[in-house]
Amino acid sequence: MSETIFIVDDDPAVSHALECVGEFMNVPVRSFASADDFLMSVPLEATGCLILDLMLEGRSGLDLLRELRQRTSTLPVIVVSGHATVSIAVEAMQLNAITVLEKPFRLNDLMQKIEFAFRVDQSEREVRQEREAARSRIGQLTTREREVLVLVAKGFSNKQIAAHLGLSLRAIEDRRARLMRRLDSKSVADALMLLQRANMQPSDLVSC
Amino acid sequence: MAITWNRDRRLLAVALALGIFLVDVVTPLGVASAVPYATVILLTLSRPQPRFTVAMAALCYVLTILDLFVSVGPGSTEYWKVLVNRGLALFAITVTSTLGIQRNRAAEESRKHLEVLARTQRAQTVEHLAMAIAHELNQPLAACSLQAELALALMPASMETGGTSQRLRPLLENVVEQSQRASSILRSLRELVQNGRGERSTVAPNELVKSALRWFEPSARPHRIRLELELAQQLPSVVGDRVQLEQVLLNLLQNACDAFLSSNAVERTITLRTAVSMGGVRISVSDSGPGVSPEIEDKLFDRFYTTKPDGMGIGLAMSRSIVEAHGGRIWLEHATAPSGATFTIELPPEAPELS
Repeated sequence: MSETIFIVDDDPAVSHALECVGEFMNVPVRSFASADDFLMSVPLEATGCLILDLMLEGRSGLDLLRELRQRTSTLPVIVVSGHATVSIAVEAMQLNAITVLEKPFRLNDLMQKIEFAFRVDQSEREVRQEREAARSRIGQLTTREREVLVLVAKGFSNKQIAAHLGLSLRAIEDRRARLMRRLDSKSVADALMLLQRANMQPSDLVSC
Repeated sequence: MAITWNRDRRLLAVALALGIFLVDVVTPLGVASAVPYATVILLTLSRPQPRFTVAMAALCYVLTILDLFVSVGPGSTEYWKVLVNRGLALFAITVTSTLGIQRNRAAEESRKHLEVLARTQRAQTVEHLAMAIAHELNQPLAACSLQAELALALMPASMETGGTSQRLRPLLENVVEQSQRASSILRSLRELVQNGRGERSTVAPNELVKSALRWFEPSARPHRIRLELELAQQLPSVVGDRVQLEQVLLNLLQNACDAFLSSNAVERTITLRTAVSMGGVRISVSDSGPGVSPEIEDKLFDRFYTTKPDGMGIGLAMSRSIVEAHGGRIWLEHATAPSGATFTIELPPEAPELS
């Protein structure tokens, strides 16, 4: 997936200058004059970063940022503003903006922030991919295997698990071997790591 | 002209008083001179200062009492009747002048209030214009500076001294520097304007609405506009500049009033509502006017956009910037009623303690 610099600024001159920066950095650029234009034409899973002006005609930049976060987009946002008040800057940062740059910003500052935003986006995407992968592996387990995994995660020995579930030690050993194979884990530590990557608690296993 | 008119009036008042006295003395009627003397007092009330009214009241007193001695002697059978008569005259003079002076004082006070309000409004308009210009100019400066820097970055790092790029570099650097400088001038201008205002205090929304209405009532009355209040109880307070927030409400009320006048509406009702909302407190101003046509809805809050022949396009833009400076929002409600416009302001509640 290619990274794109998205621009939302209603001033054509500023917008054009920002496009030139993207060109200079050899990154594709798409610019929009309003928050609604952006929301209508850019999918939520877009990658790259958004350079967002706060003072827009119609819906404000902060509104767009709020809307994006509400729609669970993690797209990194660089907020630019003619004159940001402290309270606006605070709210932008609370909404996970990378930074707030005051116009006129310096080229180097801007490019550094764009590169930083790309790295943030990249790692965010990796984390998400890992989580999806881990979740799909865990999803393959049968209910019985999950039962065992929960108890293993809680630190019970095979013997204790057998007693708890009223099964033979042999059956538990088999089930445990099978579930480790399915999770592609060599040790209990590996399996627990997978759970963590999936952002799941042992208790989540029984319910899903 | 005005001065002579005033002097004429004063002479007229004095002449009238003396005339009444003469008639009283000459005729043996012993008429109650209360009513004619009250006219004299009324004549003096066109002057806002009470001094002349008081002086004339005193003169009328003296003349009334004097007449008592001149027309009837203490031995006369009519004496008591006349005495009561004169007493009533004195009473009438006192009441007329006291009420008149009080009315004049109230009118003067309200005129002064309106003057202060107009001055605040003017000052705010100028401030807002300064802010607007600073903001608009900052945009091209930002573009200018950025592109000059790009040009610098694209320039080949030529080693030869005296080459074209070597000569262009300082020129472009200067472009960057000067646009940054211009922008910092604008920033200090903005700070200057901002420092001069913004007194923050705790404001109760219902009180705000009531006080705005008090200011607005005198200008609504001649146009037969009905004002209605629907206030929610137990609203959280908001923090802000009371005068500025009041100004926003007054702007909205004035707009509603203008809408009635320009459309010659028959039904003229403005409703002010307060309510609790997710974002804090909402205050809305609804009118029964013609409403806002969809074509201009998007541009309503833009600067310098106006539909009024003598408007500047500042009112709603200024309202928006005031509300936003208070961390709130302002918008035009999408019409559900058949006609009319509703503007709503939402302000965040007073935070318990902001770290």
